[in-house]
Amino acid sequence: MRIVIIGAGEVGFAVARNLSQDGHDIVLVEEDPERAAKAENELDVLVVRGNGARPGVLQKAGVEPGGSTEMLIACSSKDEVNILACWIARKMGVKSVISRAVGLEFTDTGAWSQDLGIDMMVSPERSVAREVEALLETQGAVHSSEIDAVAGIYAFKVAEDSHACGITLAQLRRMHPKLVTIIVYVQRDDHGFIPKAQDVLSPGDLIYSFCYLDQIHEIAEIFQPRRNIKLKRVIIVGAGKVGFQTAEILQKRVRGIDIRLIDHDHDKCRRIASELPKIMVLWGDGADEDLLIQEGIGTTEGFVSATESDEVNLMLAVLAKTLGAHKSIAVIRRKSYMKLAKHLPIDSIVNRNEALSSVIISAVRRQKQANTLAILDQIGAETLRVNIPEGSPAIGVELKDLPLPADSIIGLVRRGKKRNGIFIPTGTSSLLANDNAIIFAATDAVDEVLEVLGVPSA
Amino acid sequence: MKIGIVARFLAAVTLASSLCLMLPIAWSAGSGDAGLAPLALSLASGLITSLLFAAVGRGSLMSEMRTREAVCAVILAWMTASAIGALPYWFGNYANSPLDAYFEGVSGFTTTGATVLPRLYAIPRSILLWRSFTQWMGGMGIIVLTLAVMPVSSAGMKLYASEIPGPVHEKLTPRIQQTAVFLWKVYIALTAMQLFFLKLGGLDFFDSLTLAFSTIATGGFSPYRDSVGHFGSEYVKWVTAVFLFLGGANFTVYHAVIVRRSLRPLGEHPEFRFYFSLFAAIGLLMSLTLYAGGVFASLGEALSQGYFQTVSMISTCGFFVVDYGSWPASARCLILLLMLVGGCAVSSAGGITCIRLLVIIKHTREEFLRLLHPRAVIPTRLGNSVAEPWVVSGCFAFFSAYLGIFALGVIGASLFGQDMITALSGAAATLGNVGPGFGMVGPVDSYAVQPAGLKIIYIFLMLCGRLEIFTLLLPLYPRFWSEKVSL
Repeated sequence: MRIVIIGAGEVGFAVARNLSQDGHDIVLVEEDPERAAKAENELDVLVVRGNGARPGVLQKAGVEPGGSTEMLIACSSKDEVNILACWIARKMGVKSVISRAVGLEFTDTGAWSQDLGIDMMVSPERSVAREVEALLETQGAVHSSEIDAVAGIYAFKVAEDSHACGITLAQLRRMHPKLVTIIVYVQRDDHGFIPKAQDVLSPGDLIYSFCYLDQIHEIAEIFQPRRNIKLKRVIIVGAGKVGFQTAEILQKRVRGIDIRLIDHDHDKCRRIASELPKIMVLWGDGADEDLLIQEGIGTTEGFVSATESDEVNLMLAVLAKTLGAHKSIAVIRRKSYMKLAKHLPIDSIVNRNEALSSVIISAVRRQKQANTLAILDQIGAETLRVNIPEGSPAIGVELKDLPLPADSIIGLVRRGKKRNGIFIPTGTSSLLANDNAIIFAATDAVDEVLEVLGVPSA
Repeated sequence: MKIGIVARFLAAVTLASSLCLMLPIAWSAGSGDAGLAPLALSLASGLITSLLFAAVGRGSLMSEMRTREAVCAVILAWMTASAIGALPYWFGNYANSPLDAYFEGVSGFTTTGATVLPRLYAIPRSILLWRSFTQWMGGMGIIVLTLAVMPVSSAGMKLYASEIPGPVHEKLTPRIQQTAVFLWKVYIALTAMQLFFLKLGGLDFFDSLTLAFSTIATGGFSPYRDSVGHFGSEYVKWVTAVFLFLGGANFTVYHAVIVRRSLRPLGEHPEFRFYFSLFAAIGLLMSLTLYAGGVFASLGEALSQGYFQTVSMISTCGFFVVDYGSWPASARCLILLLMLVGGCAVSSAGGITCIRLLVIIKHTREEFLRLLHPRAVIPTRLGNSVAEPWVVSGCFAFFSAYLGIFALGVIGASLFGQDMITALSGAAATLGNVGPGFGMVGPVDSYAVQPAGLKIIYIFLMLCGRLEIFTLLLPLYPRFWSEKVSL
């Protein structure tokens, strides 16, 4: 598929790289010569220089009547450019248009995207903020990504005092019959595997599990019994979009929470203080130890560093942890820094670029039958939701007999609309047509999984 | 500074206020009372003055009006209008001296309601109607009235801001003229409603009209020495109380109510909420002290009188039903404080205004938070919006200027030999455009016995209160005159 992407900033770049690797033909429109040159050098894409909101530029990129462009993704950081680009693309007969929305009111409800004639408006900053919020709320979790409004995939480090240690997963499941959850991946030392029912967990393992959001605290209790404490105070450094949104979401979701937002830009502080009345905005340097101590870093449950600089964020998160913050999260952009997670005394590192682009990438892949729910770049895996089509060869076959690749697992199956129609399949379960299966698989095994399940891929 | 522009504006204001004399003249002609001659003479003098101003200002362009011209125009307009208001008292010999007549004129246009006229019962009804009518015109403002009928382009906002009370002046409509027209429409509608209800209660047309004029303007002039108590009617008292409350509330709320066709803006407007809460709380406190002090035998009577006096004072009207001068000190203290607070911005009330007090209270309360969190950025919130720093500091500046002028008034009165209660309440009542105070200037007394020098001070305080101090004091600031004065 030929896809035109507007903007080669951090979001556009990551989206272009991922979709190009997926096999799409990508045309990237970028005005800034430096960014354009970077994309040309590093990506296998066509770069058109110019303003993506100008019809002439878009025409050069192949957005024209009767052109072969099937999709336009507007990823610039300006809403007016994105919306105008989408509008022009629509006029030119581009089949689907997706726009990043910086202004939050555009994605509060679906009304704006409908009115503007845009198939999908996504706010990547919001999803980063959601992830940070989920990590704060579930103190024991190391990673989190929401699958939909009710389910998510959470990673926990297995604590020394967890009762899950030393017993098989089958035994663990029998101990908690009410919990609808499945461990889909275990990372032990430097290697990872998809666990079977007879595998035994040991302290220090990083486990990824599917679970329902309303059961997340009970699950956290199993793996991190001591860390499972209530969130009362959060200190956020950096009042950019992610910091702002995290504060806003926390304020909405956690009752009576005390949020302190620190930024060094006084104007920004003033603006945010007037927009978020319940949040205490502090003007100062996030690395100012006295300020952090004054604001109670020693007893705070959560600390988030979300400034413009990755290095600062990592150092601040380490500093906060040293000063006594219960959970310290750094928001970064550079993928390579994710590797530091093991070596630094930080509880979680959130890659905002990944979250930013994964929302858009999954929106593109949603075109297929299979629907990517979350991309877990740090372990090279994804979560997909698959609708089993009529006539699939997998129907009626017991799962243990399905030739699924080794690095994949069917996590949950939803049969019918009801909540109690959800079950965790075992080796003797079999799928029916129109079942909704949530699958966890290594990124390079996804296509094979889809083939086995008889899902047509694009 | 160009005198010609000022003169041209004054010509318009003088013409407008002179033409207002037509109302009492018509009344006098209809009823054949003795007020016709002085009123007609006043009209003639006013028209001649207007022509003189017009001659001086001939050829000047209103569009060239700058801050200096606007300030001079506003101050002189108020002084001239007050003089026209005073003419009938002087020509008819109803006042003891020209100074007394002028005092009454200023007291009328500034909606103060402090009176120096002796023997009210001996004054023709047409003159008494004029007396209440001056308050009605002064309530929404003669300049706003002029703006409503005369387009003045860019200078309009400056003129408007100098006359409408409040720390910030938001236009309700794209054009200042439309805003002025809207304010006057609401004002006239409220007056008509009160007139209707009073007539419904059996008051005659003259009583209804004078009472309605003085109520909506929160002025306080009454044709009778015993004010609202004269009518001896609970109905009249409550109708008056309701319209006093409305007259002292922020008129922009009415705009929101009308535009949105819902009463919700009343609950959302921070100043209106504060005004209402203050009224409810102080009224209750006053009623309870009155009951506890044994002034009224029943709690119901105490509540009724307490709340009436509270609304009369918070709206800076100065009406009374009973002589509150003899109330216990606790109740009188509350009354004195209410005089200082006053009503809302963009209303016909005076005083420091609720919005400024609210900003000051909020900002002061945030000071505690600032002590605990020295680096915290804490904007002063008003409902859904935030008061900009210069608005906050403007409120503090006004507050201190108000107290400063108040102090000068108190010192002046005491130097003229007044006792402490009289000096304090006299300054508060004139600066706040309330009217009656305590002691020698109590509700049933008159300012007529005050020495002439003190009357001049009070005239200054009344104008200060109506024009919100800074406008009136600006010409006293030397740099104001740094620009060459020319025609």
